[in-house]
Amino acid sequence: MVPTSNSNDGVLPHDLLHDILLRLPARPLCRFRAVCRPWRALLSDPRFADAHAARHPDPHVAVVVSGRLNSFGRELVDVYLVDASSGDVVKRVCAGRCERPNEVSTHGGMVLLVDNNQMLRVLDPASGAVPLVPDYKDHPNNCSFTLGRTASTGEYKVLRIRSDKDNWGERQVICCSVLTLGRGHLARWRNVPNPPQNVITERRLVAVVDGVAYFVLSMPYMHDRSGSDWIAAFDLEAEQWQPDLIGGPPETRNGVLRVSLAELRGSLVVAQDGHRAATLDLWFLLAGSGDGKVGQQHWSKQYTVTMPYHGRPWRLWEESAEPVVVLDDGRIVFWVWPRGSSRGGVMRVYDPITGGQTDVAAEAKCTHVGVYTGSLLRLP
Amino acid sequence: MAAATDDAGDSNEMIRVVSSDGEHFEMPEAAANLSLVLRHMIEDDCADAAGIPLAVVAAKPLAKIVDYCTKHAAKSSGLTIEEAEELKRFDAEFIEVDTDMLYDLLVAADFMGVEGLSKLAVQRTADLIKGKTPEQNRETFGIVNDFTPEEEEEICKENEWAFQITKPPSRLC
Repeated sequence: MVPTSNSNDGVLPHDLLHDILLRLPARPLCRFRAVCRPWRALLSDPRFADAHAARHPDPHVAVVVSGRLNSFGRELVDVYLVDASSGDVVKRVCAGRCERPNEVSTHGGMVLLVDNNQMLRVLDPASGAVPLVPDYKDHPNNCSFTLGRTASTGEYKVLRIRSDKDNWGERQVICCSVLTLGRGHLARWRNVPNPPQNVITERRLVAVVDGVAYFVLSMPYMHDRSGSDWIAAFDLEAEQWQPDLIGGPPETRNGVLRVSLAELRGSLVVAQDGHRAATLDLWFLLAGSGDGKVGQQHWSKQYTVTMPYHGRPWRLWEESAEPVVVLDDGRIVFWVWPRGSSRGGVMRVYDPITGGQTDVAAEAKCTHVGVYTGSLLRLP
Repeated sequence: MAAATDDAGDSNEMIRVVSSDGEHFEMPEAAANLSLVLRHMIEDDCADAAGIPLAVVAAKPLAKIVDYCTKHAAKSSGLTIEEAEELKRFDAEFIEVDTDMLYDLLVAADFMGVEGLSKLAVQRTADLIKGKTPEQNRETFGIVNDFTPEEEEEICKENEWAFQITKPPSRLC
């Protein structure tokens, strides 16, 4: 290729074109498949998709929505993949009939749902495939499921926690078991030890970070131990609870009711909803600096977000915001649940530099929000 | 980025290069060393008074590349924060060129192996085309649309989400 003074009549060398396109987000790339055949071939190549995914780890938001009716009038559950900064729907995948849409767990490129026959469905939103977990004994009703990946092998595992109400109406963990996905008919639930203290299995109080699932201790234990450590950790690789509990951020000791757990930028995050102070504080659990100055692990308050709903007197069932993901450009995506309900809500993008907030999508029948980290170029 | 060594920085020797259309340029050896191709030529003792011929780089982009290398070679080691900032500003202004020049710089920097400039031009091109339609891209790159209208419609349908440029906040479904 010889450049001339008026070189636009030429076509870029393949290597240069590859380098340029690799720098673009998935959205324009999908659009540019319509430029010409060579571009379409490059932009549909799985090797290009892999290189692109490695360069652009920006995830999408998986929004689980119930309420669409099939032709027999039965309620279906759909999973939407949503572009995090624009709120645009990239893809909708039907997950079938799942009676209890609250029991959903998202991790990496997978969504786990419990269907009407009490079977587990593992949905891969990119391919739309919905394999059933091969061990299809009925699961008791009082189970929670947490999907995660082991840190070293990247295997998907499900932690099942079965709990029952005791005489005082408090849920007590009865037993825990683990299943490894992708083992075909060889997959079996394996019983694992119970947590060191009773834990809450409500989804917003669970987060999986780097192969470890974190849970918040349940209230009676909290009251007994006020001011003490209140986060329990389950290592998905070792299939063991870590013997030591983890202390929360310094300012959350007496306000555990208003916290939620999340995974943001590879760290465990405690979001503390201080309605009275008109803020949502995001505390990151960070590793030690290595120079010994900040010890081993420590909590760092990295964001204090003011939500438009704040400033009202705080009530237990008021509107509440859940941090979902931090984008490459530093903006944070929240899902804001409506007051008094665990259904519906809006997706809000917050810019920490300007303090500005934009609501990019709303969904009245949303039941679960998670992060999808699979490649969009691979979507059919 | 290929950093000039202290030796090269101290050397006052000027390297001469000749563009494809016969124009002569001069730059310090440290600057020429930022180009992989020129460095190899210098190491192989091919840099003589007649100048190194660059058969595929025209005078206009070559003048820019000599500018770029001279600036970066003078500021390559032990940068203070202000100097790094200044170099960044220089880069930003440097790459504010029309698409023809950008194209020439892309190809020439790639050919000459000037890594920093190559990255700069690639990123600039990516920024330029990011928000464009397929048709605008064909114009920019001089590409002929080789799809049938049916095929094109099919591709647009398959990638529908990517064509909706903006959308007000709304219900997802």
